[in-house]
Amino acid sequence: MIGYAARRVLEALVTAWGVVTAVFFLLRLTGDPVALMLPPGSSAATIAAMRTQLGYDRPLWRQYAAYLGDVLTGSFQNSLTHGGSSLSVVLERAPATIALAVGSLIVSIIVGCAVGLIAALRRGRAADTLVLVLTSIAQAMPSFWVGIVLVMLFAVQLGWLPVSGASSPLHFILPITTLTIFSAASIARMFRSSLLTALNQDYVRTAVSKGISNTRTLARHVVPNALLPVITVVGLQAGSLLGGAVVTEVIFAWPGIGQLMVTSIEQRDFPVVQVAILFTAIAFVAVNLLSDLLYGLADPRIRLRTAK
Amino acid sequence: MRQRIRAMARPARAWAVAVVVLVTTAASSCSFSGSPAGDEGSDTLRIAISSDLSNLNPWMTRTVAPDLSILSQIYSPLVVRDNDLKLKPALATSWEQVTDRTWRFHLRTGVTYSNGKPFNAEVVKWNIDKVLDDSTKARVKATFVGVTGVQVRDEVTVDITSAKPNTTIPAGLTSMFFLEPSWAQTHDPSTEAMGTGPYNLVSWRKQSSIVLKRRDAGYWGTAPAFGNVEYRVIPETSSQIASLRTGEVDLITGFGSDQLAGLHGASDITSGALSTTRSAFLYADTTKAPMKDVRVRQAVNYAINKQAIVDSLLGGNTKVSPSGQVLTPEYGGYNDKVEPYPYDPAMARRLLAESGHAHGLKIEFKFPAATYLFADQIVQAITAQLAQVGITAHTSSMPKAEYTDMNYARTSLPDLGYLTYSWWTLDGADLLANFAGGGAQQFWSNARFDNLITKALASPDQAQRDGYTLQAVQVMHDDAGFIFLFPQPLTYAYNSHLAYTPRPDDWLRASDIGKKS
Repeated sequence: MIGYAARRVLEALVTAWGVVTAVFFLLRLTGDPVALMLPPGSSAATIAAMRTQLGYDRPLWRQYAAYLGDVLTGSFQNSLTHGGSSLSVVLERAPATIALAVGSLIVSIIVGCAVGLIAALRRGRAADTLVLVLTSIAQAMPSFWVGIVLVMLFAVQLGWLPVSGASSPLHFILPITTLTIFSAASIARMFRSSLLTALNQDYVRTAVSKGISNTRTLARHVVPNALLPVITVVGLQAGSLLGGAVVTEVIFAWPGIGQLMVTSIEQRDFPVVQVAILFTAIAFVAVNLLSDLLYGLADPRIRLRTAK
Repeated sequence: MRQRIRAMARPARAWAVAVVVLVTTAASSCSFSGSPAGDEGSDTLRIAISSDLSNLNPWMTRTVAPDLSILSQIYSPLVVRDNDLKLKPALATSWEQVTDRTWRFHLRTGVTYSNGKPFNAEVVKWNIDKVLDDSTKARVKATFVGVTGVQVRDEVTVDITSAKPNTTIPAGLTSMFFLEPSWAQTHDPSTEAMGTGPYNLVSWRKQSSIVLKRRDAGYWGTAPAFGNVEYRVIPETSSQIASLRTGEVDLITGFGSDQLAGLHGASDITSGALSTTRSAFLYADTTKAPMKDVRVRQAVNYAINKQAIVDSLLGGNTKVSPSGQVLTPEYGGYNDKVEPYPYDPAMARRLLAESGHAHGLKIEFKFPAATYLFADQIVQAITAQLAQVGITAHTSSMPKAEYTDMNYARTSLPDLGYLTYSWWTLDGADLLANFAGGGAQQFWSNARFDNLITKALASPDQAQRDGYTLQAVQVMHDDAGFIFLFPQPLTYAYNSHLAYTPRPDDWLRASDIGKKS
């Protein structure tokens, strides 16, 4: 188990480094932020002076080395538009994103598992067909469209819920619903198919023939085995939600990391974009690492196979 | 097998019931507090802004909307541009040009900061000196190009001197706000604010909201109508409109023209569009064929039906007129004798034929994505109209940042590029200087034009300055330096209980907005 964990951690570190490097170079492909920061009409000399002042005139490899140093020491450059440390700019937005991610994840898991279970137990019947059709539709609807439709219906027409912002618990309902529609559908479909596989396994037949009750068979043998692929799906969803559900945050004016990334990219606030993406990458890698480790814990076969 | 699964359905139903109960409890416990949608605080004015304030420090931003407009509620300038676009006294009660290089400002007496400290000539000097100091890295420094110093004459009189005659110093001062020196040295003005304006800052929740509260006493001007102001950051225009409809915000600006029609029927909402001080036009890369040839540039000017574009954009409910120059009527030096190029496709074809393009022409046409209001529709219409006279434009958008860089570098420019421009001094020579020799955006060069702009900028008085600008406008029009379009329209919509007059420049001051009785 320790060897397995160590290898996964090492892989995670390499992934994080890869993301950091790719982001650094991709951002530089579009030029530097200096021209955008100065008012129109600035002279070439002013632009050059600003470029030197911010260090964007240095060779790319030196900027890269300086940036890697920043990442390792945790001392990041100041934000170009907000003034303060770009790390604190990003961390200020993190709670809103985390609250939204955790909220929608919990609802998605509950709804997704419930729906998946119903569909699997009613395989081939009306409920199952309905679930399959509805989850396909849910996965096909883009979130910007779902978000706007929910706003038009529940905020503008019915007046039940607020449109945008994050100042009260009511404000969570529409963005969480928007995110849940997609996530819950993926979880439901995955859980349904893995339940069906598990139900056909020899150990289920053995359990039933031993005379164990249906509830107990389901709870002790079917569901735990069927949950394994669900852990992976949930891990992927959690990773992308923690990185800021960009579109949903923009529609609902949610003050999180997704919205921050959009505005910072527009303003070429490189230090903030880099830290925000680093945060996202770490969140993604950490959650996936966690789900891999959980996988190993939940399924002794994986642990044993890799231990050999 | 099937039997067995069906047997299992019973416990599953119990699970499902449990889950449903759980979800409902969770959802209802979520809604314990939380104000209902559309909660009305009638003394609070809520304004939607599409991007957050970038910095609370008024030295560190040059953006009028939203930055300086918000900061103008906490701080005050010496001179303010009023709703009629005229310069009016603010912290300065009067000003005059004592020599052609010196402006004298007489300050208002008895003005105090909200911490009780006085505002006086020393404060003005300290602020402008700091801004001029390179180590401050102030963004408003660009407002003071050519300013050499500030002299305190007495407690309430300051002189501002410049290296060359500069008639637009009072206009430039509309975007300069003054920090209290002792406070600024012990506080961080980029995260805190304390000024001489009508409101005090209550909170700034980044990317979410900025809340202001009216100063109880000690404000030098007329107390504003609303006791509280809340700016809400809502990036998506459809969400802004939904928020206006539900009463979560009272005022929105700058949404797509297609949404204007939908708002017209809405009760309690006043909406429309107006012509602004920002001009829309196309620049042409005159360093290479085909746009090097003045006849081709004129042909493009004749080929575009400007009135049809404006009418289809705004449904004809606002007067936005086609223009034959880059200035709008609000600018000093606007030439009202210059007529727009009429829509004349036959003339365009003839000019193209004369210039050797009788069998058509292929050009590159670029515009920045998600930058200018209505740009997509305008650019599409232009492309279609050019095709009718035989010009095939390959039209594409670029990210805003790359587009800006390309225009600054002026290398590998497209044949045509969509641009809009405004200048906060509302001075024609200032704006046109960007496009003259030595300017940052010289896409077209003409020695007579450059000469006239140089003379205008060096003029000791405004009348002489405007005289040169008028001529420069005529030269640019005749030589088709640009493809002239029209003033950029701006859409607005607000709750009908506001007493509000939309204005053609970027300033949007909460203290100008009243309540309808």
